[in-house]
Amino acid sequence: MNIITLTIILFVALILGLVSGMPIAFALGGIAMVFTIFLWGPEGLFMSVTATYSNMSAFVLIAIPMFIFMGFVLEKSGVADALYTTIRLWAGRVNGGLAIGTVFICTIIAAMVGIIGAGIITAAIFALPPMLKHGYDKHLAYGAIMAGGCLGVLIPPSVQMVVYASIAEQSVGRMLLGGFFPGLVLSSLYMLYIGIRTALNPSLGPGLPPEERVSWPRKLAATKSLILPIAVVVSVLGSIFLGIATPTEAGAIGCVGVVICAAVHRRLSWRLLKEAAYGTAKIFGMVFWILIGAACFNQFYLAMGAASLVKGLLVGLEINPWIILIAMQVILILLGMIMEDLAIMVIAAPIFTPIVISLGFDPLWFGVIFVINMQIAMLTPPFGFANFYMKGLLPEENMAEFYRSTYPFVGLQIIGLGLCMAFPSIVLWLPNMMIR
Amino acid sequence: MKILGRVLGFADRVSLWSGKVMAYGLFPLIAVLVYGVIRRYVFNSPVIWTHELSLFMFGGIGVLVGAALLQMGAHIKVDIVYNRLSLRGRVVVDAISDLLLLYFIVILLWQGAEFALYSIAITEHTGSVWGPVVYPFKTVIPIAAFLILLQGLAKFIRDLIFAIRGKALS
Repeated sequence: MNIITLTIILFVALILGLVSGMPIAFALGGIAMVFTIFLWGPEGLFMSVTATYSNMSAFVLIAIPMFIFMGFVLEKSGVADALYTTIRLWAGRVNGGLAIGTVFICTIIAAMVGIIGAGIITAAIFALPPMLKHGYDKHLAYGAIMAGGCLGVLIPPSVQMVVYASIAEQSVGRMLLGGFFPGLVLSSLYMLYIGIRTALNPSLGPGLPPEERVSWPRKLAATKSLILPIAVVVSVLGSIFLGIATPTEAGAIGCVGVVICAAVHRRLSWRLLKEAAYGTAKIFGMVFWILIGAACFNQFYLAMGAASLVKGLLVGLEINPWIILIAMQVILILLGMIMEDLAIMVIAAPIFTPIVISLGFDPLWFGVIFVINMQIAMLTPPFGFANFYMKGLLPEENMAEFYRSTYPFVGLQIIGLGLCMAFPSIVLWLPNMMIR
Repeated sequence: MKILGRVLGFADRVSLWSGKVMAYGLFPLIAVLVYGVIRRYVFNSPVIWTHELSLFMFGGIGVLVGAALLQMGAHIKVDIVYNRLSLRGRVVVDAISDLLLLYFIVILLWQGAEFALYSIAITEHTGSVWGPVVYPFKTVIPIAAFLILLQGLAKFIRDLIFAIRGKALS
């Protein structure tokens, strides 16, 4: 059987395995092992153990459970509560101020956690009720919360960045830093958009009435709620940037940091820690097994020569590299509508990365662009995870209302994606400044 | 059928229990990492064992939670097509895809056992300054595969009975 036929059969099997609804981890691993035994016999099966063991002994991957744990503790730590109170005092009188403030707080939370859940859940609990009470347009409010929460994917710490770096063999520290400015660009775009829309049409987000405005001393007093979160952000990001600690160690420090935050807000309890541990073990296990399945599949994909075949086909076409790059982004956006981000990453990253490298693009830059795209996948219906979080928190609301509120923000994300593609230094400046 | 139900229920409990125990393992993992950081940067006297010990704990937790996730149906899936099938259609597809899962996990159990047994036979140590024996860590792979196999078989039996009889095993 020649390699072209084999590659086609491999992709067909992969698609069948995926749509069967079985766990992706075992679909990838199982398919790789079926092909291995046919091509190379039982000797090749040892690959399943090397794939497992290499993930078990990768120190950088320990950052994943750390970043997840930070999110679970932060969610119930009382930090978000205090932050949103502060922003209500500061931004209340400005049109759209509460929604802009929500994006701002989500940006800070994104710099403390590595998952999107914490940002969306806390914003929906603490920021949504005041916005609705003061007559904000609900679509604007939902959109701000979902888009703001998704910033957790880009702004370090970020589980997605670690996963991508692991699959595409990039530096985890540099990937994490690469997401920082794109995250800020998106956050600014969201705030700008909300500001312009509410300035043009104040009824979408009216400023608070005069009786709810407060004096300067009270505003300043409330601002101390920012001190602890910013201390956590600085210690985690700072230690990665300065090369003092590895992302894993920074994550462990961050875990202690958020536990201290919870203690300061008098929310720390055994129950909180236990639930955080259960939640973390579950999400971490999902990620870990998918990495094992992906490692099995990738080893096989490389060894059988399919990777170089696909690369050769595309590069041989002599199309403008930028067109291939843009086509990849379109494919990722389309996949993002029907699949979860991690699933797309483990399948598309190993196929795309060698192509991108041979086209002469910077793989680190491409990795960050890829993750920005995955962040769009979390908003785009029907399978946008942010929408599911919102539905879980507001079961009475119609799913279509959430979908509708994502559209303008998806547009802004695509603009942000385009900016980072057109100006690579948005992504690369910080990692290139990194010490060591 | 009643006895079968009880046996399958036992498999569920084993899986969930292993998952919970592993979740608590996160606390010592964080503690070891933080201790290592403090010793290195605050007291300027690094300890030799925190790096490897944290890896052992991390790798152990990662593979050993697999069975509990399978029991909870928490592994990541692509269900856009699957969700459109009828309930009966889904269990039929499940019963077939379970076979691929079992195939993979049997291979991991077999190959993992050889991997661990070899390490035990030569009393393998890691190459670091601390240099602990490495076989307990490697043995975790076949143990995790065995737990997933147990849960996978329970899932397969349930799906098969559902697919044939048209109703779930009570």
